[in-house]
Amino acid sequence: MTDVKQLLTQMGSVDMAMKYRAHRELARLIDRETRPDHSEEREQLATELAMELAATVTSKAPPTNVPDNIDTVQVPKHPIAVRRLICTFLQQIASDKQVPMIAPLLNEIEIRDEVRGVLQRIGTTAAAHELVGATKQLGTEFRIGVANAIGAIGSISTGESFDALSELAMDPDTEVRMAAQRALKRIRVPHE
Amino acid sequence: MTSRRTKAVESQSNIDRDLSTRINRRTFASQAATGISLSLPMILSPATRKVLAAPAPSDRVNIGVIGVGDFGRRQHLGKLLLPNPRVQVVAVCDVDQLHREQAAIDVLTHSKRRVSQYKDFRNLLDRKDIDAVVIATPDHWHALIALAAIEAGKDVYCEKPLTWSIDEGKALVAAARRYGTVFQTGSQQRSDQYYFRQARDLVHRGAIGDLQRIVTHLGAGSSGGTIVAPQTPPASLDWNFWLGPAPYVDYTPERCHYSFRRFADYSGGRLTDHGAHQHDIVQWIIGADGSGPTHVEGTGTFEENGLYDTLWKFEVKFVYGAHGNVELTTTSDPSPHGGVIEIYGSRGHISVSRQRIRADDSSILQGPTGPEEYTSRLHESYVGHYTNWLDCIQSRQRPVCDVEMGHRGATISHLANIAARLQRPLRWDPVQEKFPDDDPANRLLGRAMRGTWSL
Repeated sequence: MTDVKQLLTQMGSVDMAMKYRAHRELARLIDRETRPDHSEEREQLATELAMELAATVTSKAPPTNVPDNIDTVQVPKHPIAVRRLICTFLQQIASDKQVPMIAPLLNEIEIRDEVRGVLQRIGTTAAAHELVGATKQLGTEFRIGVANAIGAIGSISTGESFDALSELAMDPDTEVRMAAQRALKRIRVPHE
Repeated sequence: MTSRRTKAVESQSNIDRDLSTRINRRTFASQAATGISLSLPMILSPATRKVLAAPAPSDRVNIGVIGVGDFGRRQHLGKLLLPNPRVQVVAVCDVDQLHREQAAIDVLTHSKRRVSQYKDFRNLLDRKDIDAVVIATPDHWHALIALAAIEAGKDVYCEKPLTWSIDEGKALVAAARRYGTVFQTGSQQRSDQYYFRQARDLVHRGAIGDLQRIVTHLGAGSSGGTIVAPQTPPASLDWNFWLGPAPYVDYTPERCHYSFRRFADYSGGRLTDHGAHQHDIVQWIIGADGSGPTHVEGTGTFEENGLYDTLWKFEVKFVYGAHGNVELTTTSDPSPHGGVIEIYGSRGHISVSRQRIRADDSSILQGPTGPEEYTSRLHESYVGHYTNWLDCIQSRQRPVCDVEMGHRGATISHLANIAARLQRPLRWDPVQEKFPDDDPANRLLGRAMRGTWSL
């Protein structure tokens, strides 16, 4: 049984050779679990990856200029480079079951664009629903990415996708408005 | 959309009108040059005669070259565009300042003209005076830039492999058709007047009987590569822009110029690099230009100790169920017959490469396309490919390796990579361009692009 947690830890190693070997082994495992008769194993693996993506550890709080009583903070368990790779893997195998685990990460500025990509590739109504919720976030580039993602999910989008994109089409930023208009062309408006 | 379609129709009729005047002017210039040279051979120098015979500046196609690193500068700009009297390079674009500056110097040296330099291809595409673009960037940029060029009303020559993914190819074909783009894929073996064309002609004439099996021998991919720690990118390079739609990673030189094709985030390794050429010819020979195989199954291995993550060795088999169950094998192993493409029929075998064509029975090569006239003239295929594209820009016909042919040829390479990775039999629907009832495999047909990039 491959230890996914151990592979992820190795992927964050400073030993470059170990890092790449671990990455390759995990990639091979994921490819293997795409077999049609491995749907349960695939779900299990995707869930484990999603949990690792969201996992945090307690760390000593960094010093600040303002005196406070905060000694420890929760920080992501894995470095950003590893979390990005987890998202790449999740693009390949994640499903609706992982949506509740990863959707809160849309609020985490370090990884939200990659999480947006995972939800786009899941491509279900539940994933689109979470993306709709992210259309009001700050950051022009992120809102463009979200509009693109909703447009890419397109054909199965619900009325709320249409409403969210219509609102984005009136965004103060020109590029966001253009992205929303492009996305609106791609989604199928549900019948009343 | 409607306005752009209208514009395409208008430009078609403008071109029709231009053609008649252009022919007259060109005929006049040619006749004038000939007449003068015959009557006054001692007065006009060869250079003057050449100028008189060349197209008027207003008749030349104004071209922007996007991606002027290794191949874009050395081959496209240096050997194919600057010496071509039918085109005028008016702008160069690259995310590496050193590349674009050097390319601009090349144009200045050759043509005595200064050209505009751009880091962002979108700024180049905004120029109304540019008729067409040549795209010679790394693979992961081909589709995005080509799509933007199509939407900007430019005709396109895009290097092979046409796409990074099958989804990108579908989007490109749809857009090119919608806008009436003259789109040439840089699989120049299609324009080779010698061996590959001869092989196709022989198969289509039935010289080897019923086509049964084709094997492409692509050679092994790169082994592991050096493991190096991330570095600060050179000041001349916009690394974030270079990555574009691909996942963010810290810079290492091996990821970037030239060796990018050994990384799955930017390319498909040997299968898409060399495979794009040979799979294009296979599709042509089988007669599957708008179609493809129905089954694919394969294996592949990676070199374990290195940075590269594309296949090192592979063997992938396809069945063309809608084309007489012809089998295709694409392999990293060398051919026992020395060819790059081995073609087997019910009555014989042809072995073909860029340098030669052979048959197990020499009588197969006899006939209207006999062997004695064939010599290796690879460079002519590049020139011929450009000539075909420029002719089509005038006639508005589809070039010899149109966008769909480029997409379908690249699809074979992408399918091979997917099958070798998943190591299980896959069914492929060449009409829907999906794996029927196989969502995990379908996930590999595309990816969510980073940041603001989107198909």
